[in-house]
Amino acid sequence: MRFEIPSIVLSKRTKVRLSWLWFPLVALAALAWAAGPLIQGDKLDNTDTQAIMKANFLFHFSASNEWPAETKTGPFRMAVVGNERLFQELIDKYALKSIGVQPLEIVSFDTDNDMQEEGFFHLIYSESAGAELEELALQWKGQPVLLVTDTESALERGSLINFVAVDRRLRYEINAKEASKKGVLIGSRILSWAVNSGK
Amino acid sequence: MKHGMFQVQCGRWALVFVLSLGITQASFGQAVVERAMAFGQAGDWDEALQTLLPQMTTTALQSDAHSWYVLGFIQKELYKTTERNDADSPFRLEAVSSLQRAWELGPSRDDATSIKAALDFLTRSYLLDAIDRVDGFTMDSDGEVLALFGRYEALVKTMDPTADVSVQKADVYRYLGLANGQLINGLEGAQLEEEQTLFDRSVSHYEAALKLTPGNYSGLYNLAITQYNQGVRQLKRIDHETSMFELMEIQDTCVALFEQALSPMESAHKVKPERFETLKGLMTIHYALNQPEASERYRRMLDGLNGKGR
Repeated sequence: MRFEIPSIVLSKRTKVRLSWLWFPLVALAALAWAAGPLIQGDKLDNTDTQAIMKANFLFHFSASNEWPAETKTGPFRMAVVGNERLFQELIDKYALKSIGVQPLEIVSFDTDNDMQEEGFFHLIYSESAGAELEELALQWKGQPVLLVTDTESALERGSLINFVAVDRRLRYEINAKEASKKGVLIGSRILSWAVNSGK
Repeated sequence: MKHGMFQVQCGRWALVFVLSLGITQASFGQAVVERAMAFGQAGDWDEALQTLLPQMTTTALQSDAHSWYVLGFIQKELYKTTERNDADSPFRLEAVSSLQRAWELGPSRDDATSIKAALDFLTRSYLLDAIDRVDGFTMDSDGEVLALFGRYEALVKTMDPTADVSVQKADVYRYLGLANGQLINGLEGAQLEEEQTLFDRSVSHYEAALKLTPGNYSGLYNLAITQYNQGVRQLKRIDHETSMFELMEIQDTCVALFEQALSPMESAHKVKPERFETLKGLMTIHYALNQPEASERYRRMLDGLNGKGR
C-alpha cells in the first residue's frame, strides 16, 4: 500500500517534500530484503585442519620420546617432506620452541631425495607411500630417526609412526619395537594414545 | 392537569437543552480538531497535540473517528520529527493506538484510506528499525530486534489477520545468525564464554529461520559454515602448551561440530547441487573429518564445475 500524506492535514508544499523522503526509503528497504543479507555471510575458514592436528602430534612425538645421548647436541632437527601447509603450521607455532635443551629446527623438502646430504634428522614426516617409502626407510636404516607417515600399511614399509583415521578422528599407530631397535624410545604418553602400538 | 402540562414543557426544554449542549459540544470539538489541523499545517506538531489531546476525553471527541485519526496523524508526525531513532518511541505507540481507535470507530471513506496508509507507514517503520538494528548489531541486541519485528508482525496481523510474515521473520532470524557469527570473529583474545554464547545464539537463530523456511539454501549453508568455523576456531587454540589429553578432547569437540556442519551442508547441496561454495564446503568438512575419499569426490565435482567455466 502506498503511503499518502492526507491533504486535509498537510499543506501541498510539505506533502511533496515528505513524499520525496518516504519514497526512496521504501525502495531501499524493499531492495535490502530482496537483495539478501544486509551483512556479509561468514566465509568458510580455509585453515588446514589436518595440518594443525599433525603439527601438534609431531611436536609431542619430538618432546615425549627419548633419543640416544649422541643426538642430544645441537638443534633437534625435524624434516617435513611434501606438505607445505604442515610445514607452515609448524613454523608458525613451534619454530622457536625447544625439545629438552635442543632448539627445534624445522626444514621443508619437496621430495625425500631432497633430504640427501642435508645431514641427520631426529624426526622425518613424509607423505611417501609404497616403494618410495621403503626406499626412504632404507636410507635411514639403523639410525635413530623417527619416521612418521600418513599412508596405508606404512608400518610394514619401515615407518615407525603412521597417522590413521579412526572414527573420523586423526590418530596414529606405532611400531614401538622397531623404534626401540633404532634407539628411539617411545614415551608412555605417546604409547597410551596410539591405536596400535604392539607391532 | 396544569401540573402535568408544566412537566411536559419542562421535559421539552430539557431535551432542547441537552440537544443544544450536544451540538455546542460537537461544534466545539470540531473547532478544536480544525485548530489542531491548522497547527499541523503550519508544521507546529507540538502545539497541534497540545490543542487536541486534552479535549479527547470529552464525549464528543471520544467517539469521533475523525478526531482520533487527526490525533494519530499528529502523533505519527511527532514520532517522525522527534523520535525517529528511538525504537521504543512513545509517540509511535500512541499514534498506532489512536489510529487503531479511529479505525474501530468506523471512519469515513477518505479517512479510512488515510488511516490505513498511516498505519502501514508505522508498521513498516518497525520493520525498518529491526533491519537497522541488525545492520549495526551489538552483542545482546537480539531481543530488541525480535521485539521490533514482533511489533511489526502484530500490526500487520491487526490490519490483515490472514497476512503471513514467516518469510520475513526467517530473514530476520538469519540476519541475527549472521550478526552473532560476525561478532565472534571480532572477539579479541580468549573470550571463550562470549564466543560460546554468540555461537549458540547464532545456531539457534539459523535453526529458527529453517523451521520457518525449511530448505532455504542460505540458512542451511550459513548454519553449516557457522558450525564448521566454530570447530576450526577450537583447533586454532592448539599450541605447544596443549597436552595430548587436551588435544584429544579438542579433537572430539571439533569432530562433533564438523559432523553437525555436514548435515546442513549436504541439505544445501541438495537444494543447489552445482553451487561452488557448497561443494567446497563438503570437500573441506570431509577432509576435516578424515574422510579423504569423500573429500576427493567433491574436489572432482569442483574441478568439473571449474571445467565448465563457473
